[in-house]
Amino acid sequence: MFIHTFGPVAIQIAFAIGMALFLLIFTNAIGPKKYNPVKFDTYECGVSYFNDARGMFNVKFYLIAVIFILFDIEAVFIIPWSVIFMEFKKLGLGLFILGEMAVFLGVLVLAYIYIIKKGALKWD
Amino acid sequence: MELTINHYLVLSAILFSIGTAGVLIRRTGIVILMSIELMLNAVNITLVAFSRYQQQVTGEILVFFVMAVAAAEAAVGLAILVVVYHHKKSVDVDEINSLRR
Amino acid sequence: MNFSSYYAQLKYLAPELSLVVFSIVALCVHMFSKKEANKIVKFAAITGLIASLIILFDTPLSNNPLYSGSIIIDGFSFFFKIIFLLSGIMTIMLCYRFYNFEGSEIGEIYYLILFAIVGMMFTVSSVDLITFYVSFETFAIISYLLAGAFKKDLRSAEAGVKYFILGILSSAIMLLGMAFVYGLTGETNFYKISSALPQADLTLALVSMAFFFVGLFFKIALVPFHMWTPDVYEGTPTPIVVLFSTAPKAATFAVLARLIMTVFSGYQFQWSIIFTFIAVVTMFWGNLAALIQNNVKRMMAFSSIAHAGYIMIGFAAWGTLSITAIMFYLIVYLFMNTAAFALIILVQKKMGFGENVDDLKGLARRYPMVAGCIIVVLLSLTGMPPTAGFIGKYYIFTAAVEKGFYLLAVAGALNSVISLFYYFRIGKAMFMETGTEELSDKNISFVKSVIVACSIFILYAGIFPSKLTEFISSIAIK
Repeated sequence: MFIHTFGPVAIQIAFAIGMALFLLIFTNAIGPKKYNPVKFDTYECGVSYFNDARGMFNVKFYLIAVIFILFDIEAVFIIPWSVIFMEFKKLGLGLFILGEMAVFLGVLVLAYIYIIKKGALKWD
Repeated sequence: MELTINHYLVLSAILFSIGTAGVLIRRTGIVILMSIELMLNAVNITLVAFSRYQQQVTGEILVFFVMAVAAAEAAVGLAILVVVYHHKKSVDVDEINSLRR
Repeated sequence: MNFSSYYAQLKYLAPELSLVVFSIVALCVHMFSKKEANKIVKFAAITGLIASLIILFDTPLSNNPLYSGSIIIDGFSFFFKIIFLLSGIMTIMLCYRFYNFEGSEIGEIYYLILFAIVGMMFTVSSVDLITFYVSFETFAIISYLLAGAFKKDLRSAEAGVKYFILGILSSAIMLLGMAFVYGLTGETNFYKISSALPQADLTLALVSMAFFFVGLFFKIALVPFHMWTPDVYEGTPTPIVVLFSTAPKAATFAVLARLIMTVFSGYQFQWSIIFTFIAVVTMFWGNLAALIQNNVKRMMAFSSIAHAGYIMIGFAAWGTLSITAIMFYLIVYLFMNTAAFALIILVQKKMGFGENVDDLKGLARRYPMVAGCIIVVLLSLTGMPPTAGFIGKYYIFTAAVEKGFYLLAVAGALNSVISLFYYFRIGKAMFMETGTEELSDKNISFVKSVIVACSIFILYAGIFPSKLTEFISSIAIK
């Protein structure tokens, strides 16, 4: 029934909303209120901000981000491999599956060397 | 109310439609890229749901490859958009019109 | 599971593996050399393609799927691999002239071309949804890169963006179709899907088929999924267009043939209707739009759309006869199209290559032999005897008539007449008086040899088609 499948989720959502409301109202109610211009800054830490967060980023960030995505996503193949590794080892095929991963990582390393040689990671 | 495969399919259909609408309506190259990622992830939900429904893992294996392909597409897409930005100082697809109609 | 057979089966993949090795060698050369090593990279790439072609003829064929039923190395895939490798060789030969002038050659494109061809070779061999998707996307993603690879030219970057956005949109829709096919059957192997899909709901199966075909039709550039073609062909460097307009199209046609033979074999009535409609619309749209073009590149883009329409007649009238006709037409189309795009690289002015019809003026006086070969190619594109284009069209129309698609054959013949008008404009321009502009002849021998080789093949296959036809029907998909 509904309550069995979604009950815990509903409780979790209710708790999260309640906690947020409680904190907002409670601090507002009992906290001291001293208003001055610094209070209206984005960060109340003493360092004044210098421009909008939605501005342009340097294109070099894109390059790093793209390279990060490409190497990050390879974990998607490494994790299933590590899960089934022991089963293959029990079948006596440990070397086979290790070699397969070595080929895969070899291609990745080649790509990494390529990136370094092309100067994609140089910052100037 | 039990969660059946239909719920997942409806969710993925909604996400896929949002993605398609985004590609067709939005004019910024980056947002179009995001919309297409949304479409691919909607398909991933479909695949995982079907995989669960068929009691197999084949569909989930395909999802891994879709994720890798999506990452490659994002990389290539961003690279091409950066080249266009160098030329035009904008990634608005409406301004990409120097080829004859 | 017997894993030792995995290594034994590698011998079937020798052409692909050798191509991968050569492209990695080219990549390493490009990576470790300090100065411009483009010559070595280009040489390594073209050597790799030729080596792979030689190895391909020595590779055993097998009608049983390999690697747990994901890949099949049959005669059908063998034939298409020849097309890809020839297309790659001619592309790189044309690059010699194109990039020597433009001076902004980047070595990356050569090993990207090689990787794309590896992707296509795996695509035509794949009989499993996962293998198919990965290899299809391999060459699709590389082709977006190649379209935008000419960084100097804004038009190239624009072509890249257009191709990229529309391409991944259509491949996402195709992926949804694949997900539905998988969900309906629980199988990813084409043969297993083929027996399981008829038990599924008819409407859902047809919807998934339609989604699946969107991605393929986009790659082939069939109307209504053709909008990208003229823009992308115009913006992309001309040698790369030679690759784009032949190899990926052939690969996608091969996949389409495999799909309708296996996965969607139970729905012949439905897909036959779709193909009939698309064939007629594509032929008329391509030919009528080509009539009003002044840019030869755009004209040939529309002409390639129209030729895809002729080939779709063969798919609508599917049968043993039409398979042979389609394969024959595709290899002839490879040579016709390559020569037609090579024509654009002939006229080299100070500012760039002459892409307009008027720029071709005086070509016959300047290069008489090449102009004669171009006339053969144009006759073949129109479908006149004694060229291979005529034989190809004859086979396709015969296949249509045999299956009772009389109107399709009539529409095809009518379109051949329409196409005569714009091919004639190119021919007429070549024999007109010339302008006085300075033209460059640098590295032109590569372009000339490509055009001459293409026209010799076209004439040979047009006058003695029986050998080629016998070869094709002996390896055609059963």
